Amino acid sequence: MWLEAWSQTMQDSRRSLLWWAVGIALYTVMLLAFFPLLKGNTALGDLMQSLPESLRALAGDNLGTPAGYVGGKLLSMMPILLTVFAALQGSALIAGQEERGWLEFPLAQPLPRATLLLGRAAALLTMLLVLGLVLFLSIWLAGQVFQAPLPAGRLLGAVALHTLGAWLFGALALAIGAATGRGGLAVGVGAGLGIGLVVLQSVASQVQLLSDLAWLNPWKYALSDLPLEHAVSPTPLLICLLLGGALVWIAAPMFGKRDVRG
Amino acid sequence: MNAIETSGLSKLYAPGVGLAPLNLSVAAGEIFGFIGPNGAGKTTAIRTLMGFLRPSGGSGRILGHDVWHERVAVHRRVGYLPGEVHLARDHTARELMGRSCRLRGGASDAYGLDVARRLELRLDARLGTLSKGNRQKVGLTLALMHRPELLVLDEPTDGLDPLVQETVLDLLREAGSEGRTVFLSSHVLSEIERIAGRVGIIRRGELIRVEGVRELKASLPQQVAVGFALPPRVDLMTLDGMSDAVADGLDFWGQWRGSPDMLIRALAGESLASFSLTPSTLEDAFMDEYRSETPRKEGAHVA
Repeated sequence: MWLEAWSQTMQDSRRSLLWWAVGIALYTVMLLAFFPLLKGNTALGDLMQSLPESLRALAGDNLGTPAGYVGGKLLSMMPILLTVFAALQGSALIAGQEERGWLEFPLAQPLPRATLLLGRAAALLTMLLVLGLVLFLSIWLAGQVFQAPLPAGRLLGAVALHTLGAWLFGALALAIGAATGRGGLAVGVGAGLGIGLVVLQSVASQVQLLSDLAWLNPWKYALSDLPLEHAVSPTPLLICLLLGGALVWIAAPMFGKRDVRG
Repeated sequence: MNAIETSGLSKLYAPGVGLAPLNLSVAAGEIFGFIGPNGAGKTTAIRTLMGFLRPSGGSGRILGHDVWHERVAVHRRVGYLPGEVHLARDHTARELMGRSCRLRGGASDAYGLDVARRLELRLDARLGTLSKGNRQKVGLTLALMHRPELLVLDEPTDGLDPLVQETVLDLLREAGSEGRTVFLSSHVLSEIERIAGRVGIIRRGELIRVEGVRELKASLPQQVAVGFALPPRVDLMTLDGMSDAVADGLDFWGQWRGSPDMLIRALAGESLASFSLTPSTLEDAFMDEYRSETPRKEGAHVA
């Protein structure tokens, strides 16, 4: 039954997913197309070395190497983009549809509310994995074309960290929307927290307190741990996946016990 | 077992707002009309029965299943038409029928196709391109297509043109004759009158009267209009059973209760130019019930 709810949701979201995938692929290819200009540019490397460390952290290190360029210029934007997608979708799938009166049709069928939520959570995760796959493939392929080859394993790990980080905030938006029926609140909290934590992580190296607590921030593993240069530990991946699932699991009984608007 | 059975089922959004404790039994096979003006609480009652709204008190059972705790079992056996049909604009009626079938474990869509054909619904048009009336047809098809034991329909003929309304009433009569139960709300009384066996009148969230359509109509006064050819010798106003009488020269109007026997006898010696005795419609009964209502601040209107 949840599989049917999943497939119906995927069918409804396919157009929006397609456009996001096209957008991400184009963005990736355009950015990587400039890499040959920067590659081995020693003047740029010298300039970067002369900057204070705080500015270097913002601009990204080693823009002349594939890993530095992709990590600093391309993937550094992904937590924000993917979080926006995940929070918008997560809030729309229950709360947004409810506000339009679209939940009455599926819920008038013999479909438990928790099953509908499960199907839609699985659809959200699937959509993020599709975007992650598109991101991975377009970076890897464009890297081959524009002289920025990256090891597939490292790249896959880095993309997985971004994708599952966004899943956490998408699941948060889905859970808040399911528990309260309020789409604005859901997207605000989900995207706000996700993007806020990206900002916090970008200044964490300058603030002692933040860097002490950085292990709590899912974006630390995607952004500061330079996953393109060091192999990724599966622990943060697993934690993001489970934490997102737990949020939805907590919201399910609340969704089951509240009024659904028509 | 009754199709619908509620005891003190209520849904109060705030004290005095929403559905007051409702005690209602609708027998299996019955066609029951639920009437009241817009805003009286019909939709709140229906959405509570369908398990969308959490009851604030009492309990209700549909076909033996608790409306809140066993709503999935209820939904398996009930076809539901919401008061306003909201469906995603990208879908076609055919897709939605397919979805409904799959969510009901691969049910057949044969009867649904038949209903759609009779309603002259275009199955492959996107819902976003359809008029309100056509979306209503989609909603009706989805509600009727599984031949459920109970149909819960919130304003089924709303927005439909008269010919289609007729088809819908036919479909509901057929459901009734197959022994299925129909619970429909409406503010169009003439259609309830033509189809329902019993009606419940709801006002300000309260069910104020439940009665058979025939009994309800029989209890209502009939409209008398008499045109005398010559000045009458009898004073109709003094007759037992006459009320709200007005005499204007040779013309007389009034409301008559009870058997017409007395009235006809009283007129036997008179010379008449015209005479009519019109049975009240449910509309009149309804207006009666509502006239006794003190106007609300916003000025509740009887639509």
